[in-house]
Amino acid sequence: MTLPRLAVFLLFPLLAACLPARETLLPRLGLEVPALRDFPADYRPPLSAETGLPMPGFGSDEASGVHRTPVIFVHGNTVSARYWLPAREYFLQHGYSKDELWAFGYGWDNVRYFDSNELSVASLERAVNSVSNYLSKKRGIPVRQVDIVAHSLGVTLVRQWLKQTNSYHRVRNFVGIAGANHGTWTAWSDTRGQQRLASWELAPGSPWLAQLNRGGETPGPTRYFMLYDGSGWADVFYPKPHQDSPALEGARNLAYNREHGTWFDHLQLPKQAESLQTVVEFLGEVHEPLPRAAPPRLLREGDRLRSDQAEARLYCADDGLEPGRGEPESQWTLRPGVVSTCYAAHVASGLASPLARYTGAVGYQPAGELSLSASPAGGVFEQPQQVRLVASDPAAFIVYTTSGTSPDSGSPLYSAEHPLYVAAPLRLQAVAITPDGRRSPPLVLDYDISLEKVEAAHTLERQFDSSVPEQYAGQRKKGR
Amino acid sequence: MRWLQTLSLIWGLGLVTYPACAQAGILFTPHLDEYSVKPNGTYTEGTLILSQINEVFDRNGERVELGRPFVPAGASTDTALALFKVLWVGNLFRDTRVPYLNDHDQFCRVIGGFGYQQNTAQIAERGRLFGAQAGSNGLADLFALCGFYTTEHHYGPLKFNGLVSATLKEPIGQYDPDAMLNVGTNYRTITPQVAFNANLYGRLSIDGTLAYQINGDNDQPAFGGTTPTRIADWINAEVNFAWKFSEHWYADLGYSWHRSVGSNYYDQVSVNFKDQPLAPETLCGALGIGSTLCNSPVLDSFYLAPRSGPYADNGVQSSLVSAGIYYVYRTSTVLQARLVQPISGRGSQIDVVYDVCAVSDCPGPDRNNTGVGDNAFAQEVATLFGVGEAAATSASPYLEFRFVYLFWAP
Repeated sequence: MTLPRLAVFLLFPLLAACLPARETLLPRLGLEVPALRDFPADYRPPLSAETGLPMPGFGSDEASGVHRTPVIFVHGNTVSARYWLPAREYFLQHGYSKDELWAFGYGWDNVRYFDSNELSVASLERAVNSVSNYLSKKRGIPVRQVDIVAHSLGVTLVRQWLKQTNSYHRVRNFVGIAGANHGTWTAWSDTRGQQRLASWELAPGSPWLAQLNRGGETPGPTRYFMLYDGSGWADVFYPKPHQDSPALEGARNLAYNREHGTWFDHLQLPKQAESLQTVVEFLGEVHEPLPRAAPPRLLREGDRLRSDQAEARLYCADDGLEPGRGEPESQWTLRPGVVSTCYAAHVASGLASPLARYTGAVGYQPAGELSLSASPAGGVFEQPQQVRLVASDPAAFIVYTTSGTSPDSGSPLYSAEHPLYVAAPLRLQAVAITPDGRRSPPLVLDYDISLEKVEAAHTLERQFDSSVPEQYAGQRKKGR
Repeated sequence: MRWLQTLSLIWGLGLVTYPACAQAGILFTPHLDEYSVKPNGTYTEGTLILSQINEVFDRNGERVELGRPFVPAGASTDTALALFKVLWVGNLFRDTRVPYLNDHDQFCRVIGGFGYQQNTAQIAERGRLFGAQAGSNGLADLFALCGFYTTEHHYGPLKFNGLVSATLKEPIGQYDPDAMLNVGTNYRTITPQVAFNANLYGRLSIDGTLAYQINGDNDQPAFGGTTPTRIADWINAEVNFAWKFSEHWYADLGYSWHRSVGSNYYDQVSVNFKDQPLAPETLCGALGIGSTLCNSPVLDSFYLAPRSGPYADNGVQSSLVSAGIYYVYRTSTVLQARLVQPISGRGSQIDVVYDVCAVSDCPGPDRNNTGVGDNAFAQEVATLFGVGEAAATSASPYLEFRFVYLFWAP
């Protein structure tokens, strides 16, 4: 073979390999990566937790005004905020203003890297805060709630964000379209690199999903609407017999194709006028929160809980469960040794408190200085870890976050029967809280899980059976 | 002198490059949702095509056994073609102001490969009479294509989309003008292609394509000019039906058709016996000649010289059916086995004029302006098979194995 022919043979595959690298090559050349940036001039988009760059997307305009709860669209994997442009158009045609419709390109916002639920929580938190703050300032009164419409990976991302940041009271309605709430068959163990994390998260029966769904699938005052295929054929991610994977217990579940005889596929379902109509109708079923009302708060008086607002009601659950929109109580009695999770909601104002946890203090004897320990206590690992947390006071309960936010009593509850599953490079923050309300110093640990080196099949096995031996002992090469 | 026509079978049949039907596979072969809008990402694919060619089609569409009648039955050209493909799907124009493309994903694909071709011994032996090397192994031509998907339309349980692309072939493959077989082709092509994918009820997938292959010229035809120099353009059409049994198992049936647009032209025909003169008894014994010439008492040897051309064939045509089975392993890996059977075809043949002389200066100068060299005492017409992928049409089945791996599985 002549040299020119060899050069051609090598050059073409190299060119092909470079094609997906638009997002990495252009910045190195000093060029800006094209992105959808349909924001008003006075709005500064939040920075992506993954890229450190302003998040692309759309939202607001100069003058349309906020008349109803703003809607934030959260896209799925390998697409961007642009994906929601048809939905925005539909919402605009049905009375929404541009001020009320937002979407952000979270995560890596490109196709080179898959996004994950765990790593995108921080970006979503910034996005919601950004919208609330901007609209509150623009409107002159606080915008305390948003509606969220999410698709695919975005569904589980939003649910993880709700859980990790205890933000149920900030979301009036949550519409999840075709989300892998109980896993998807495509998230099995032979995928590579960055996207492996999403696979570990969303493999059917994964510890991550079990962690997400534990305590109740629809907690808090949020109204849930899950929209999905249900036929087992149109959406390739949820074939039979897993066609109802996106459904959530306690949500309004609509298997749209199954019930309407349609064939909208995974990417199509959130774009169709017919299915979007059901979304708009769901969002409009509840009245807008009173603009100048204050949200109710939980008050503890001894072992009794009540709200600071007489008309507000309490929603509580015991034994690690998280209360949904079940039967309300006017007050709640705490029992010794039982962790109660509660929130207060005011029907007329449409506002609610965050989740909070308490334990009855009758007969409680403090056991010295309160502290918290973890095993393993952070570090660099090649495999996802099962982290065990132990409080020095056995009467204390433990709450934690993995989203970078400080835990409060409504944060996810640690259970000794279910060690915390850590599969991503993340920061674990935990506190122990005693029945009398004392808190331990926060435990802050970094777990740097190497995603690139681990052998996926055994790692999945280890998720289900921790006795499966680890296969690798080398040094990690790359972390977050 | 009909014996020259018979003689031509020897070299004509021995000179098939890798099966013409494999050419279609080098572009997009429609099977398993080949033309559907795929999730963004990078896909890699390895394809192995195996064939034992022991029959080709002649210009009348008849199947002719390779090497017959001069070699025993069972002679063949054995080919193996390993293709490596990288496919990228994404949108380079996302969020730009480039109309249409900013909303429609694009794809690019590069295909390289290695080929192995070998004639069985008796054919190789006969080829040596004409100074030809027996086999050919090495790098195949390089294909690069880019295109875009059209809008996906939905009508109830039916959804379909189109695909538009163009493929460039750079002839970097192994090519030796003196070889009987060549992995490379030594001419460029550009192939505009339109295709569609339709899916019904999520279970039946139909892929179809129509491609027009514009072929460049081959200024160095192989094996004595019996590969065309001016190659006719081709029309390729394929359709494939795939049935989804489950998320893991698929099966498909396909039909493929191609034909040349007009004739192939041969301008540099020079194929001839390597060692001359040729003793009559040698020719008689070796080639089965029983003519008057063979027994002529006045001639003790012959010299042959072909007229270089141009010659035109009647074009080529081929239609094939295929059946395959697929196993999808956890969405990132696809294994496939596919059998392709030619059901009809037409190969390239040309009638080459040979001057026959009794002296080595054959046919010699034409001093009397007769149109024939002064030393030629006869002219004979020999029907030669065209060779190479542009001309030869295999009538033998081939087996294709594919291994597809998705680096970024959805």
